[in-house]
Amino acid sequence: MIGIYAKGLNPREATREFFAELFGANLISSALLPARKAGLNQIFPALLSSKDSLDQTFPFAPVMPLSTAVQLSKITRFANPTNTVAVLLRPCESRAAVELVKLRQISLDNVLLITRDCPGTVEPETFEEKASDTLPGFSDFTEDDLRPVCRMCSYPEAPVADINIGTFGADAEGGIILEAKTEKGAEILKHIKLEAELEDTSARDAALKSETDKRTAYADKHLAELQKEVAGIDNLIKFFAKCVNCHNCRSMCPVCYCNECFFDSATFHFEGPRYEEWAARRVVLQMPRDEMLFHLGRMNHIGLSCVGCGMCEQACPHDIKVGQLFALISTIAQKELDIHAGMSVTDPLPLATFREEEFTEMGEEKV
Amino acid sequence: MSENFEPKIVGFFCNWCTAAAADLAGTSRIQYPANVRPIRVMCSGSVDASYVIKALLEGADGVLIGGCHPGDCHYVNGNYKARRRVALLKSILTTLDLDPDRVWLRWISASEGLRFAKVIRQMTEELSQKGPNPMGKSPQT
Ligand code: SF4
Ligand code: SF4
Ligand code: SF4
Ligand code: FES
Repeated sequence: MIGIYAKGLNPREATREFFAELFGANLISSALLPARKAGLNQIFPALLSSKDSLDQTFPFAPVMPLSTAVQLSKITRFANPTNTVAVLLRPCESRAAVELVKLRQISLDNVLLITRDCPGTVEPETFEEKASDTLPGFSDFTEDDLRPVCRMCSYPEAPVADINIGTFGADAEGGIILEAKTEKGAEILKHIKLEAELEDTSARDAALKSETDKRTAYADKHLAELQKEVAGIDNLIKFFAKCVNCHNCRSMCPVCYCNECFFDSATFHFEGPRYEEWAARRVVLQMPRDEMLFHLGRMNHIGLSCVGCGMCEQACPHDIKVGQLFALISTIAQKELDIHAGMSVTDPLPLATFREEEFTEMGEEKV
Repeated sequence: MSENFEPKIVGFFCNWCTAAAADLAGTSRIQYPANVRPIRVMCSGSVDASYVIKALLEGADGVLIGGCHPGDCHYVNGNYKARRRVALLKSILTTLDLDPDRVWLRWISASEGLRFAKVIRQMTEELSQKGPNPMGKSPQT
């Protein structure tokens, strides 16, 4: 089911209206969506218990301080089976949520997963610069303001949702395009007054296609340049020259879910004299140790789950393009291994499963 | 490469097969180069990519993971998981131009002492051609 909702309203107003209706009809018990931090020019996911504070929400604010998928794991822990929490996620957040479902960190049983088309986001600093009493919208920024990972993201629309809120292919004041993508979503939309069924989706399909094409072209060019920049260990070391091994990138990564990260574990607590031994062997030993191991190790742990959200890069205190690097290695690895992150909650966990007939040449070679 | 470069190989050998094959090669006096530093693991499936990377960053010229033949893993399918993990590791190393051919995965059963010796010989030869691993020389690694 797909149709126009709240014609005459802009997407923000229309989405608030939609959530008000969900609350009003008792279809949801609470809602998690982006809201203005009280009195501040920043946006954070907020859990609303009624429709009264919906005017504080900014569903389309072009900024993502963190991936809401991680907050979802808190809300769905031992969830009350009689309640329904509606969450509004961007495509990359939905894809991260799917990965977290696969990793058994989230249960979607009591969640109404609502996604929204995403034209991209800017860094929180860039967002704040443009903010005054009113918060800036997407059209207040130029293409160059967007985070590079957004410009490369091939999912303007989320692959997994109960209901998607579409803006591509809709007019600015033409309301939003609501689409039920699951039975659960269709059941909900039955209670919502749609303006009109969208019989002809060709305008939307074309808008989505041209957006995806533009981003793919950018990604191809940009990632090829990045690949040259990091080619070989010396260049990789240069790329991470300013890295202080703080692991912020890992902390903010939605798919790095481990309660205790291996790279923070006691495995890496050594006795003092060991460092001296290593220093003697290398003459000079840079401290802290193991930053290259951390990055390469993390790539192997989550390369097949990376959704390219760039939260790692946004969290880096030294502006290292770590999200773009992860986008590079994961795009290639996911293509080569034919394992794609965030596409389906029923997909198996990439590193805990296998196909008997895959990579059969490996292990047998020669001799 | 210089005549006397002796590549260092770190071997992660499954206790149930490759480690036993190494012992068998030893007790049957099959000659193979002394370039390998064996580490016994309970299953090839227990080798995290970070162990392999650590070895490469610490100056190993190559890493050999030895596991049971498909279908023979004592933990049913650890070797299949190891295979996928190695495929991912090689993809990442290739993208970053970090020579994926320094990482070998080989199925070597407990009775294949001869095959074990051959693999070590072959790997030593190929790594000698390549020369020292550039990943392990920098103070930053
Ligand atoms: S590695 Fe970076 S880009 Fe990939 S999922 Fe984690 S935070 Fe997002
Ligand atoms: S880097 Fe690896 S061990 Fe650390 S949190 Fe991420 S997945 Fe877990
Ligand atoms: S956040 Fe930046 S500085 Fe910190 S470990 Fe990650 S890449 Fe290095
Ligand atoms: S027990 Fe040998 S590979 Fe699993």
